[in-house]
Amino acid sequence: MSDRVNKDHSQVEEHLNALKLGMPMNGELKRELRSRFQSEPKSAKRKIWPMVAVAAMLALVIGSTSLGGLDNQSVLAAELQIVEQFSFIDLITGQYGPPAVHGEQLYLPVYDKGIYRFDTTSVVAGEGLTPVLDHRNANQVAVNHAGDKLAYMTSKGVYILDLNTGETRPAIEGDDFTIYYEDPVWSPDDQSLLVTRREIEWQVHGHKLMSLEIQQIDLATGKARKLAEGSSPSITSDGGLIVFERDGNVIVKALRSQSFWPWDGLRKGAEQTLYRGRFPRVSPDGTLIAFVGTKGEMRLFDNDIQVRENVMDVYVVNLKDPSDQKQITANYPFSFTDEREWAKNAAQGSVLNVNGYYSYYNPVWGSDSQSLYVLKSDHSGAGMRLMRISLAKEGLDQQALVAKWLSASVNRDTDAARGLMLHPQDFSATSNPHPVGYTLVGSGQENGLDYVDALQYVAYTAQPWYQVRELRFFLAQAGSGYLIDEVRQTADWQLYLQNGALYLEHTNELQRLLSLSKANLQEQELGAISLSPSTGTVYVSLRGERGMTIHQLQNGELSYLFAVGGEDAVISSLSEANGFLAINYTYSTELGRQSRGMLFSLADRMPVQIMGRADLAYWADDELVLYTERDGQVVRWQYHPQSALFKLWP
Amino acid sequence: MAGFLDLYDSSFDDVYRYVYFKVGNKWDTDDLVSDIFSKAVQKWSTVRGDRRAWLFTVSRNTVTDFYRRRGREVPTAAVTENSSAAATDLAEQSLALECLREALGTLSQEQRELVSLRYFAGLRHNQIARTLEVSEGSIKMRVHRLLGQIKELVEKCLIE
Repeated sequence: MSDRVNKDHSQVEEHLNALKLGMPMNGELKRELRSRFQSEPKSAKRKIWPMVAVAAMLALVIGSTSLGGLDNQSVLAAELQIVEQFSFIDLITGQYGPPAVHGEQLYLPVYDKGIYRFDTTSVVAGEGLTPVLDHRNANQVAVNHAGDKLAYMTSKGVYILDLNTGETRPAIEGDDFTIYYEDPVWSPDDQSLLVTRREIEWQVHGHKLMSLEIQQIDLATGKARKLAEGSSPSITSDGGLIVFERDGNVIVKALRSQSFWPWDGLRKGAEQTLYRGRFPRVSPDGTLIAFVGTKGEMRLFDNDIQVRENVMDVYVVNLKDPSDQKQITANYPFSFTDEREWAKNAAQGSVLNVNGYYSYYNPVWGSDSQSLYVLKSDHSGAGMRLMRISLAKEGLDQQALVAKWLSASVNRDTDAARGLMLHPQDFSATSNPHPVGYTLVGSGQENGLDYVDALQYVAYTAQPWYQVRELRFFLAQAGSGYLIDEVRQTADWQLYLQNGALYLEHTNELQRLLSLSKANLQEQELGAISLSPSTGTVYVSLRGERGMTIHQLQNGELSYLFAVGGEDAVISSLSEANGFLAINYTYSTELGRQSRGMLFSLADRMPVQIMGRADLAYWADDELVLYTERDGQVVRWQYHPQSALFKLWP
Repeated sequence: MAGFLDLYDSSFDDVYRYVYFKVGNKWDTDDLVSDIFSKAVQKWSTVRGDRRAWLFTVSRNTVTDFYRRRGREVPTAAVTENSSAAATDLAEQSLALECLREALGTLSQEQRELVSLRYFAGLRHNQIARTLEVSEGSIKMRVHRLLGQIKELVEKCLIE
């Protein structure tokens, strides 16, 4: 009987464990906090490995300055500026494959679900995703140049979906056992597909790769011809060159003899190794190649003990001058092992391998050749996430750059924030207190250095603490744009509760704003508070018998504004800007604890009806950024209170 | 500090899920977990005894601070709504898990705390006893009874 009871209990315990493992865990926060607590490593002997080896370019003969058939206007990869980067487009729960892009339409394969279309211009919050194909094994998509056909891969072959009629037909099929076709890419005339043909041989344990070749499939006849040995093909807009991956190298091959520099030494069928890297992809205008490369570094300790660091990043290279390149992501090494401690006890000749925090896969160009979509994963086990990086020859202006950085720090996108810094530092955007909004206030020069001033609003979750920081961002010229060189705090206003009174502190001046006992508020608790930087008005939330209420504080007197949620609501943060109060709060429902963001008009003294449902809100200058979560989708959108206009992709 | 990092590495996931279960959204969980470890690192040198149990006392107090009013019902998180793909799949596969979630929602605040500390925070009975300041024997008995109660609730739900 006792055994039976224990067995029954063990089932309940198993289910509780399953429930626990199903709960989210933020691996990025884990890493950030750890690095904050970790002491600085002592210096070790450093040896820099060659970053990305430029191979055999010297063999090319210098000739004309343009490349036949391609855009004659030279684009310098190194001068490209990252004007926007964000990396938390958790569009839908599931395992993503690489997307395909046509204009503003993004096609995303989700394993076990199908292919979805996402309209990046949609203004309907939370309704961006539309199912296109219900096929649980569909993966790797490519949309043709006309935008009416979508090639996709399954384990059986490569198929073409007519986006107008919904009809599907095979382009080429394998046997779903030893021969597979993958990596479909459209030829410039949409008449053929380039694919990778993979042949394997099954063995007692696993399988052996027999061949990996790139084939061109004529869609009219169905005939296939071999173009090269390798995988991940991509083709220039004139069809003269293909770029692909073989043995970890990015290789260019001439489909016809080239007569223009730098490829004029390349005869038909000849190949040239460019870089160590994976997943090369030529931009639609034929001027750039994006690929994933790895930067290596080795640190030597006594007894021949080594730490080998390999950090993956996305690079863009100029197809007309492959020595011209730019790293466009800002990955960093990641390890839970303290290498100095490890080295003390490691055996002679031991090697510790350290990889980057992120892994990147399959960069895909936007139609305008100025944006890249990249899949990335991290150590949190959260699965693939999609990142969009916008590039432009002209960089962001100074104010826009600072706004991007502030926005990234508020929405906790450290990867994006680091990409805007001249000397990217490993910093945490998640902390308590944490930024909840910002306003740009001016710009100028100090000692010949350009700067932008901004106010950053910082709050402590659900607690009576608020700070307005005046920050000065010094900027450095980088190519044709700017990067942030240094951030300096020049002033701050701190609002906090101490010994039953609310104080405002600024440059060593302390002002008592409210005594809870004098205001007969002993029975209530002060929650989140806020300070308006423009009017100096203080807003406070109180927990009392009426639940959570929000008040305005002026001249030591509180005036009631409104109540939030039910009796058990908790306000996480308040922040005022432009005459509107943004409120984040949580409350209980039958489904459990829910979170909400809302907006209150101080002029009208009433909540503003915002389309859709927002789970989180913060100020990005004069616009409110809202997050909406629905059925596993998280969509970020932006609302301008004065004009009541919405847009996606802030 | 090396000792702190060991505790950090071994406890972070459990602290995160413990807080998530109580708060119900990622954003507030991120902030509170950051807060918990910042407090922990500041007091690290003064801590003696079972440090994992102490860390969860800090976690518990921080979450209570979030709700502030003593005695306020600390709700169960919307595990069903906000959980990851893995949990969603599990939910689809197992009606028992759905029933388990329902059962957790009917427990008292004290019982949910016990479930949370034992199964989401992964504390041993003696560590829970230190955190809640009651005897280990009492915790063992309560956990045993609680599992029986949850089992009954799940079975009832499955029949319905």
